[in-house]
Amino acid sequence: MSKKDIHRNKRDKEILSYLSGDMSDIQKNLFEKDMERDPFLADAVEGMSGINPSELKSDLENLSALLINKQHKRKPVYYRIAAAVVVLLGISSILLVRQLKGPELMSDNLLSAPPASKSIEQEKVVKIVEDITEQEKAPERENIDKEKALVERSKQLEKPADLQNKTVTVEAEAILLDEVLIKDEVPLVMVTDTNSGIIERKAIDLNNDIENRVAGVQVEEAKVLTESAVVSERDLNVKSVPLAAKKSLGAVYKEDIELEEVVEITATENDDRKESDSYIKASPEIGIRDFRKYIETYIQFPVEWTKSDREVVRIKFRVAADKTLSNFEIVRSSDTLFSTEAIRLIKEGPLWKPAFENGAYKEESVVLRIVFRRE
Amino acid sequence: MALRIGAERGKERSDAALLESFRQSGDMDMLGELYKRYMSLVYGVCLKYLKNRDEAQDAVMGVFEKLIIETTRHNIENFKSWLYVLSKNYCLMQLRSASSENERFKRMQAESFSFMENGEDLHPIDEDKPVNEKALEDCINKLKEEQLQCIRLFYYDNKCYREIATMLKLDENKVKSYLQNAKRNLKICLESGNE
Repeated sequence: MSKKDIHRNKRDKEILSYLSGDMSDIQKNLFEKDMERDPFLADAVEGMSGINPSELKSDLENLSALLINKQHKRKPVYYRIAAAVVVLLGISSILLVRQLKGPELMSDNLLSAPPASKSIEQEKVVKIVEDITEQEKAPERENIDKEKALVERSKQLEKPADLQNKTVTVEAEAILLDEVLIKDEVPLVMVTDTNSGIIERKAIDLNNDIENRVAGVQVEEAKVLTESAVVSERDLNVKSVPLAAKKSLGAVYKEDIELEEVVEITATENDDRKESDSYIKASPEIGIRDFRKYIETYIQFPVEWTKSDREVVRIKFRVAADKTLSNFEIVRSSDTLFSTEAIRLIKEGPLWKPAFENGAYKEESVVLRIVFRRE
Repeated sequence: MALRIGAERGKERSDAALLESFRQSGDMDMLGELYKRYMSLVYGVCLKYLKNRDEAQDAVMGVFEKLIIETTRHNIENFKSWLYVLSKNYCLMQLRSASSENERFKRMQAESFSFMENGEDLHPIDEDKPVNEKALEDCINKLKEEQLQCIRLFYYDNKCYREIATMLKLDENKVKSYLQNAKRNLKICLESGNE
């Protein structure tokens, strides 16, 4: 066994020992200092901390065996390169064909099927659904079985807690998702009412800020959509799906994506520019998903604030080519309490990757929309 | 040639030597040997992003397959840092849904390689070589209270994350966050002091 092998095994043993809690505090401190120096090690330990140490050990042994197996497939280099090229071409072709085009188009059977019910009880709850997973696995929109499954799912309701004891009526096919917009701080859902036979687009506000109305159907309560309703597009961009004749759209929201995300990158000074080979916008270095998680974890609703349980802050700042942040500017905020917290979150948060254009990094402004909710 | 290679196998070979040997000969043993050195770290990173053991193990093998191609296309100065970026980007690619964003993500990946291939510079406080102690002390004293406390407890009192978290009544992740931000602020302070 070479020195490197011994060293590698020693490091693996150290990792296992650290994660098992077998180290003394001083040993932990030394190991943690190694992690502070080595982001690869830090990330790896963070990942491994999510599983049982005995499972980890077993997995590492399994991986060693798999690697040996791969090494023993001694094919000539040009065969391997050729195979890799073929695989890459195949993957590229598949990836080009697969696209997220928005909600599944439903079959004509939906319109011809009788509505579930036309009665409206004390409160009307509608769940708008979009099955992103189904879309990803069903590239062919004409997959009737999957569309039928989507219809069925869209008819299922999850009663919100405060409606548990009330009778609700499903009219899923009456209100279908057509388009999601973020407009003036208010998330809107454009819907199509097919119940009345009229295809008409109306806005439904998920946060009770405006009256909910669907063509031909007056909703009794503003709180129509529950908090379980979520949006499909993580980036919250405007998503528009053409409505073909006699077809309606159903949408299943993924449960782990919220329409009103805690943080949203709404605009940069080049917001109307599309990203391309030569231009990439400024963004969090750890990625938008993890940046949202960071905000969600560390955001603090000011305890001194008693006027409301929800506030929105829009904050603008510059991301320089060297990643430094500057020129913080509050675009919208109800109080300095929120402004201060928003600035703190960004300044103490993960690094930002600067905009990239024509082979060089450049300074760019970013606007963040941060939603504060009292828990 | 065979004798020389045979003799070298018994000695510890650097990452660069193994990599060059693979590039010249296409010998999978060389690449495998190199990958084994960091495979556990690759697995950990894949676990962090994919949060699934089976998927992470698949990704470890996927990264290895990628190495075969990528090592011949890039001029790699620091294999370990480069592998770290490769692993992260591979996992992030797996996570991204197949969409028009995929093309953007490929560009981000390519950009990440050029931007981060050599890895981050070590912070003076993490380096072993001596720094201007007075300047560092002055900068530490300028830190916010929580960051200052974490820096002192971690680097001067040699307390581990858990101990610091207990003492300061914080979450461990918060301790790590304070340390990270403190180091960034110290770096800015030290660099501005050098100008």
